[in-house]
Amino acid sequence: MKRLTSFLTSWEALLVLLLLIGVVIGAILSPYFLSSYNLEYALPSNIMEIAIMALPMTLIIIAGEIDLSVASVLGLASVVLGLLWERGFPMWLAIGVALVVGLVAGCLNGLLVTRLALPSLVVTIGTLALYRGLAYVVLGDQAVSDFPTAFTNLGFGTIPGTEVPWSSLIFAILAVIFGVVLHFSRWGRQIYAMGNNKEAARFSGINVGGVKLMLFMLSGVIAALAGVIFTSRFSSARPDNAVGFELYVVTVVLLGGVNIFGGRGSLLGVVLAIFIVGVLQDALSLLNISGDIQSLAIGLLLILSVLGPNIAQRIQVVVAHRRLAMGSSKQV
Amino acid sequence: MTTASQGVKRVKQRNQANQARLLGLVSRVRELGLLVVLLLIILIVGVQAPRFLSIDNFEQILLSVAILAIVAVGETLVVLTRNVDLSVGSMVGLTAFVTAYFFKQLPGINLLLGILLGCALGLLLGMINGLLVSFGRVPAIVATLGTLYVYRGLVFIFASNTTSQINASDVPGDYLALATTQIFGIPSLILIAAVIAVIVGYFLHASPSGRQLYAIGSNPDAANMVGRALCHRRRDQCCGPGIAGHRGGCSRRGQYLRWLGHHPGCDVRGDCPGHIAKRVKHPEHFPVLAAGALWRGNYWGRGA
Repeated sequence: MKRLTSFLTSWEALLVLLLLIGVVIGAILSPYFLSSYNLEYALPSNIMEIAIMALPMTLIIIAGEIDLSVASVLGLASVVLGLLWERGFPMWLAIGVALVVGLVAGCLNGLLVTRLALPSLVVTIGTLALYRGLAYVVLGDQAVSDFPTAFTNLGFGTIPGTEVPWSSLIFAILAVIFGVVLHFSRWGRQIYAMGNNKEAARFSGINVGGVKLMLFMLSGVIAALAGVIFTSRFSSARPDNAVGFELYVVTVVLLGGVNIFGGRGSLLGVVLAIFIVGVLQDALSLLNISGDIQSLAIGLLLILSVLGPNIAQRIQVVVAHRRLAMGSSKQV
Repeated sequence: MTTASQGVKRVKQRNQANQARLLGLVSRVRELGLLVVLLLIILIVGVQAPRFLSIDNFEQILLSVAILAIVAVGETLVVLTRNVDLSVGSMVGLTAFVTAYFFKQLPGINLLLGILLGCALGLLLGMINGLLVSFGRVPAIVATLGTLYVYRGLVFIFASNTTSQINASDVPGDYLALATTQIFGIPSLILIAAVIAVIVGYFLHASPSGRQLYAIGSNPDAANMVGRALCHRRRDQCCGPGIAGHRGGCSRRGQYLRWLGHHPGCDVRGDCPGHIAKRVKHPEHFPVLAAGALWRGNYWGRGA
């Protein structure tokens, strides 16, 4: 019973509630919302790149760092993929090299943060610009857009027999893996420890530098994977792919209940938050509301989701104080 | 030992001591490191392309960063207190469009009044951020991430609802001239940026409330306790991020107005500020953060 109450008052329960509210509002506002095409295909495919990048971002933020360069790595990987394909290399090689590019990019981030002890916010703001610039250097102003159907099926097509896109399957597998690692494995506990108190973790024998380096490399590879999916979905490799996505990824992770200062949060919360944002975006799109206003709604959601509980807590404290004061005056 | 060799030894020791002091100075004063990097870049590029070293070119460079500089000054105030303000770009876009809208709708309005109105809007936007962080206890990254989206959306809504194209010709000539006139041969934009930087820099170093910003950033808990002891108002917790937010907002508003004036050929269409805000936000807010962080060297508020 205690477990049930503690779950019901948790952040995840609030997210479930928000998700249900979102779905209900979406269903009310548009007749197309509950169609199988929308729920199985349109909604997931739009959110999948952000979703996939949010998984390692969760781990990184829980560990007390942040990686703002993910969208630029996505763009760089996308551009490298396009360039190699244009030059005639086989697709599997192009994808492989793109993933390696992401790995190297993440490795650079990690080395700057762990070996040189630079703040990750500063480093990743720098590499955000660096990698985006590199993408422009690699491809210039052009875009590569003639990709084979086998490739575009990856992002655009669906699993045969259903209407669920392949990217959803990739996300589901990754989410399960990350969830197991974060919540049920030794590395996961180490990540939480590092986020709570880096020095104490180091003194406990945890290889803080090594784990963080691995996290950044993982983030880079996953961002590159998201780049591959993005390229195949839009069938276009451009240097300005996914500009600004990093903020969405961070928004989703923060909405998922992960503490920005590290040490707290759950992957389930982030997955729920991904779907809340997806539902919100989708419902608003069905109403022909533009992307900027969708962002406004997401921004408001983010602020209120943190502000609300804070204010509720404040009110609780004030009420408790009043009760104490009244109680003590009664005893006189 | 002869006096000659003793003399040589003393000179060597003095040289070593001087070198050590210089190195110590460079490693301690972060700004010196920045200066060294800057000089290196100028040197390397100047050797390859001599035109880089011309006065004209430097003027162009200064013009292009004048706006960034003004915004970065405001951002520095925020970063000093161990917070971030990600919503700079959106604030810039919003205040720019609203100010231009004022000038268009009320053509007879006094230039100064219009500017002050825009500044007030920037103050308001910054104050919202500040209140969210201080009273709402929302972490600054989260709050400003949210307000980034909110302000951007607001520009869009406002612009698309007013269905107005604000061209350069709709705005009074004085307003545009603000950015393009030259005083003593230096474009006013650069002078304004320099003046703002000097004033704020002086305020930070010489005034008590300026030093308090450093204190808040260095050790928020200690500053909190000192604040409670010294004065029974909650200056420390609420004012630090709040004030920084306010001032940041005001300076941001100023910057975009110059941007508009500086590009008289740019038609600030109804959807353009949204577009400009988008364009300004994406490439600009991170450079602003980077500039602010670079200026302060260490990100978390420590420093001279």
